[in-house]
Amino acid sequence: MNLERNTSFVLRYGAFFGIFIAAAGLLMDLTDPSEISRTIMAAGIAVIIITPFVRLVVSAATLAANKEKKYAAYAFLLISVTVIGMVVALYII
Amino acid sequence: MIAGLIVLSFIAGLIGSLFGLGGGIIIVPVLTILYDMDAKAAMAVSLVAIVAISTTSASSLVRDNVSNVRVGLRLEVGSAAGAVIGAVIALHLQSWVLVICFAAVLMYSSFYMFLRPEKVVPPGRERTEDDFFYRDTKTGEDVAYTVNNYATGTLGFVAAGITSAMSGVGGGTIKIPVMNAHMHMPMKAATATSSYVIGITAFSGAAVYFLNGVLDPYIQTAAIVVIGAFAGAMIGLRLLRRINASSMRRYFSVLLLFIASVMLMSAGGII
Repeated sequence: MNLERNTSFVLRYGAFFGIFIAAAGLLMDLTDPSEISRTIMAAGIAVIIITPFVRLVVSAATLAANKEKKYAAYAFLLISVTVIGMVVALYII
Repeated sequence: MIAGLIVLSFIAGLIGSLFGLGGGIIIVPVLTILYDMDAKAAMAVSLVAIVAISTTSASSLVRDNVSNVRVGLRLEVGSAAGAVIGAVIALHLQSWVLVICFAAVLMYSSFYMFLRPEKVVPPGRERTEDDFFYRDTKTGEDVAYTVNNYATGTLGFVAAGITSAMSGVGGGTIKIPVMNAHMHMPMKAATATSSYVIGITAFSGAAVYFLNGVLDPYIQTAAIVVIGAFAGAMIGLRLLRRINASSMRRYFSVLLLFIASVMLMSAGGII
């Protein structure tokens, strides 16, 4: 499996999909503001925010599938530290 | 208001994708000073923009093999750990102390990168797992390099994570000099790898703010900024294909000096 191709695929479609949803919501909000338009914008923002984490998981899975043990270990370690940091921050902020 | 936000985020996206930076140094002060937004909300909007810039830039740079995913994953562990350490230190240390130290490091890096020629170590006869290459779209040539000094480079990323968590800036501004000047990665590979890694750093902060509802009153602002940043990043990527690597290093060092000056003025209460 190609690490660069898989990672790039997630980033590309995550960015375009998120921007498309956010832009559609923004267009609705500018013409006729409502709770629905705000929810659509928030959904687009959520897709954009989650994309780097999804690509990290895909990179880790690809490295593991390729038996690149050292780099797969770094990727899984990074996922763990990121999740722990987020949980800690959620309780601090 | 909308036009101003689009221009602001477009510039942040353009500079961010060109130099592998997030653009928070541009977005946060403008949102707080010109748009009267509170600091936490401005930081939240800025983090979402950084994720958008990183995702847009890295999607192309990773595909073209300019971003070094393996080196990025390895070093980013240090940065993520540093961010957690920074959050703890921030509870006990005045952030201006760190901002001044950080600005001094940026100034040193700026002069170092401006005055000293780039050092890239070509791979030896026997291929090792630290040897990489990318194709420079400007020259059409393959650029082969060996990454050195992993241990101290990781410490540099830990420092980047700490300063990032404490001052809200410092992702790419520290990581790029560490990768380029210390670990001997070519400038284009260093900035492209920075574009790739800053997304994951910004992700955790953006997700926390989003889940805590900090963005809720500013969701329209966030959507406008994200769209502007996306457009800027797309144009930045086109420019990146045409820019000469040595000029890029010089422009980056000037940008570092500018950022350090802004930070010092901000710490001194001048802006």
